[in-house]
Amino acid sequence: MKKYYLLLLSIALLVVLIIRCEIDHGLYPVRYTIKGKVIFFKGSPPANTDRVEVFALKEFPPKDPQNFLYLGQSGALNLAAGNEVNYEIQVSPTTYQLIAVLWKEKGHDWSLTGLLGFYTGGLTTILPDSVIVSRDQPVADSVDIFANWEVVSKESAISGRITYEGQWPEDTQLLLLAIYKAKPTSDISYLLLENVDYTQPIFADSSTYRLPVNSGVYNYVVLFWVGKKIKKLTDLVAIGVYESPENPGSPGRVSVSAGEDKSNIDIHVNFNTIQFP
Amino acid sequence: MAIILMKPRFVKTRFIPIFWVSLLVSISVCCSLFAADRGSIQGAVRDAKTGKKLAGVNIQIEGTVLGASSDAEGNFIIRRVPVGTYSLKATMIGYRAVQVPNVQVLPQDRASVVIQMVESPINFDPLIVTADKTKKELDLTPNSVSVLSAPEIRDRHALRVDQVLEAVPGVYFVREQVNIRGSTGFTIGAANRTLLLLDEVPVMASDTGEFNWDLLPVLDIEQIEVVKGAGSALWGTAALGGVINIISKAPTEQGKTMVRLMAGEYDQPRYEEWRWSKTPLQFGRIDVSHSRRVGPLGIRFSLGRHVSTGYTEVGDFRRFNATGRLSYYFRDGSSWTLYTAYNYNAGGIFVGWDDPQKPFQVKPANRNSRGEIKMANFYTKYNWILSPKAALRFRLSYLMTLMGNEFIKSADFNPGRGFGAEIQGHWLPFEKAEFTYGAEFKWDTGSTKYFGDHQGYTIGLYAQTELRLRSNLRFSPGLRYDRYQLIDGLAQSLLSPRVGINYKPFESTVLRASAGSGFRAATIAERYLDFENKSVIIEANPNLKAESSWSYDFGWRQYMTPKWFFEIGAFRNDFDNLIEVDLRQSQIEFAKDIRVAVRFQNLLAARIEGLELTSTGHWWSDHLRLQATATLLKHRDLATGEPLTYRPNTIAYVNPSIHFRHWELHAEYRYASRIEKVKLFQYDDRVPQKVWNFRFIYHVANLDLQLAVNNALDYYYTQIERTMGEIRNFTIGITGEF
Repeated sequence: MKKYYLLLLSIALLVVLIIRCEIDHGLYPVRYTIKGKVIFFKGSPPANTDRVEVFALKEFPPKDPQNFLYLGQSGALNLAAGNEVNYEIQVSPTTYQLIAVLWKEKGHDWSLTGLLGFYTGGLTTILPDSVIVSRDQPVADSVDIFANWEVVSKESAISGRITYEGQWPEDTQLLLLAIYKAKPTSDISYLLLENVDYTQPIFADSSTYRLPVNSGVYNYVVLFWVGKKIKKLTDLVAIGVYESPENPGSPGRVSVSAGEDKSNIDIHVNFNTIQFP
Repeated sequence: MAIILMKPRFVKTRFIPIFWVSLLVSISVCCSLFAADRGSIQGAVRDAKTGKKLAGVNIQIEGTVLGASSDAEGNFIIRRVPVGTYSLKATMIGYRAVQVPNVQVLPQDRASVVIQMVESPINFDPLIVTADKTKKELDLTPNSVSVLSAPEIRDRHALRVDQVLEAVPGVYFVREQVNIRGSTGFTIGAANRTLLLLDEVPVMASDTGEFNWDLLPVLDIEQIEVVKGAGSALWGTAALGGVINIISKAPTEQGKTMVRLMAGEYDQPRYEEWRWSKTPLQFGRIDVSHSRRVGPLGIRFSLGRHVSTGYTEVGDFRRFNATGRLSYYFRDGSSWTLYTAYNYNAGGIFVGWDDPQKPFQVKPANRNSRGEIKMANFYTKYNWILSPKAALRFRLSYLMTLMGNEFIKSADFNPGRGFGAEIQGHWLPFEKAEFTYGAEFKWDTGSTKYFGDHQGYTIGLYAQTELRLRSNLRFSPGLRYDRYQLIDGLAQSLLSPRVGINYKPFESTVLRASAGSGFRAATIAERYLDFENKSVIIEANPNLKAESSWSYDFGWRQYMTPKWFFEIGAFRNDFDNLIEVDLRQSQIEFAKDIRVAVRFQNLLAARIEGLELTSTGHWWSDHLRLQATATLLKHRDLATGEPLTYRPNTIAYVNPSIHFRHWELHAEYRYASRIEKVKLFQYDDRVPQKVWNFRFIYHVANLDLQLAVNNALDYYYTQIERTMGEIRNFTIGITGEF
């Protein structure tokens, strides 16, 4: 009988131990969320608008703007609600390189060429800021985004091919393809970027672009390099321009008429000849 | 080592004569040994404590292939034994093995022995067949092998075979896909790097290589043997990561009927927002089996039904299985067996949750997702004792699978069919040498509109010898040649060598080491499946080569007492041309409008290495028992250095139990560390698997009553993307033996 009682006592102790322990139940309901406002500050929706949604992108820039990795989307924004529309995205816990407002044209798939705006972390920068969602911080709030309808309301386009030569700098973060009517002469002019493509793939041998623009004459088609340690906009490095066929080495002039899709505006980048900060 | 040959016709004609020559040599060598004078050994087997006659005891003459089983009266007779002095070995589950030395057989005489056997709840050194394709004590094999005996299987009161296997060291399940030391990962059932055998007959679907764990009810299982590491040197294709052999119960000497009823209910999810069903979620299973012997004829059959509402939306199923076995035992020890099994499985297909806030529900479009599988298996075997030193075994088998689901109607699927034939010889030419050899032929067909009509065959020739270099040192080299030929397709020839050593420096110490290669030819589905639905595009890849591996294994088993041992194993598997799913579309997360394109490819050179620690013991007059095992894995893609998908780094299983008079209390803990890498939704929350099960068993008369709580601490985890593991459930069961 002694054995029997000892056994019962052991079992009772085991039960008490289990009950007293803090029990781990594994997964539990957590709503990982990114939320904020989309502020449409310029222009109005074009007639061929299908939907506008906010996407959470894990990687940016993507290897292919047509095939980007996103871990959540908001659902169609209510464009009738005015210039400020609230959004909420249910996501997985990780770090997001880009929270972007994308425009979807009727009859077309989602593409980063319909980028109306993205989260920058504040008004002092034009570059994307990352957003972290984790078990400790399941909700990222006030992720507000300024969106510009004019980006997709252009009547014409300029397209071309970008080729690279030499070794890419290891701390490459982003490329900006910008089209100006005149070459900016002061730092503040960089803030006037209107025709910009943020989606050019990095560490590639070559890529193509097609940027909507309004009709007119453009004298500076430039590709900027953005390093990981960028502190201010003047840290942008112009690594390639569309060169004049008549005068190689100088920026070329591109004249685009209404409705025209100007092609073959190619840029060549030779990393071997560029000094990076 | 793999050799690619592209001349199938030449090889085909060359092998047929080799097969017949080997058969004739066996017969002629063996028959020459019949000339000796002969006598017989007869005896009786009794329980040492109660004097009860023991039926079904296996008595083997050591150093020969001769043996017999005791009949209902506990008597046995072994005929045609050459004159000489022998040692007998008597074994039976639940009893300690007994050796009877110096049994003298005289010409035309009948030697008599009485064998007394002592009941023992444990047998750490059972006879196994999978490691060497012939019966051998576990402690004499060079491979790492784990065995679950009938009492251990019964104690688990599992609903299905896969639940039983979770107790085996190094075995881990990702959903229903078995992994031995992390070999397979998760391949959506399209490929298994573990060969599954039923009574040494392969039972993997001929077109997809899938298993069906419902094919054999738990009630009908005599023993499960798990051989770890590459086993293709004896078993051929698919034995890349190991071999699982499920041995069905033979007909009993006395008429015996077993009935088992189990019923249970799933608990509601712990969190209010996860609850999805107002009706109780229940499951139940009933199994009946009967076995008897009429003279030399043994019969066994079973029927089973398993139903469940499931614990998720569209997780319900209805399953039915039937098995039948007929055995005829000849007076000279030869035997013939005919076995057949049928299984029907219909149920919902949970394709993963749509909303993480509702992890037990699918998206509305998938609520009608249902599937159906029918599987039939047949084999016949004849064991022919040619002489005391030689035996031949012939086997014919057939396996048919029919699948269909909501996308793929049954009418679109013709059955996958697999035919198999094998002849195997076992020869003991000298006192210190054993020789196992054979030839195997396998014909697989698969035919659907999604991959067309395809057929392929495999011819295998194998030989292995065991040399007793000293009384405590055994050396086993072996080699197998396989040729895989797809009709009008790829041909491949493979050589699978293997070498093993078993050394017992002391009576209580076993050291073993082995090295061998394994391979797996791609299944018809992996090569030719060309399929498209709303969310996935699968592209065919007819040029898939066989994947192969080299495995190295070392083990040390130390008996601390006759009832307590620990074992340390170290292993390494180097895989080449591993066939993995290649995702051709990265825009997959939360994608609503975009499909995933996948293709099977020879992608990886990979390595899995690790340590395995096991200890099992009985203490305190067998009142306290413990089985504990932990496997530490390091797995990586050698090209990228990244971990392999769907594999944890640590798996562990602990099962302490208390046995007192008529009752038993079991606690069972299963642990698997967080899976490091998955194919889809890699940023979803993942946690380690930590599951506690408790069972209370009460034995009264011929009945076992069982109460169990599985996943008792209500732990939530996923093994594959967006599919929750089994939630807490309560089971009540009764098993009767009449």
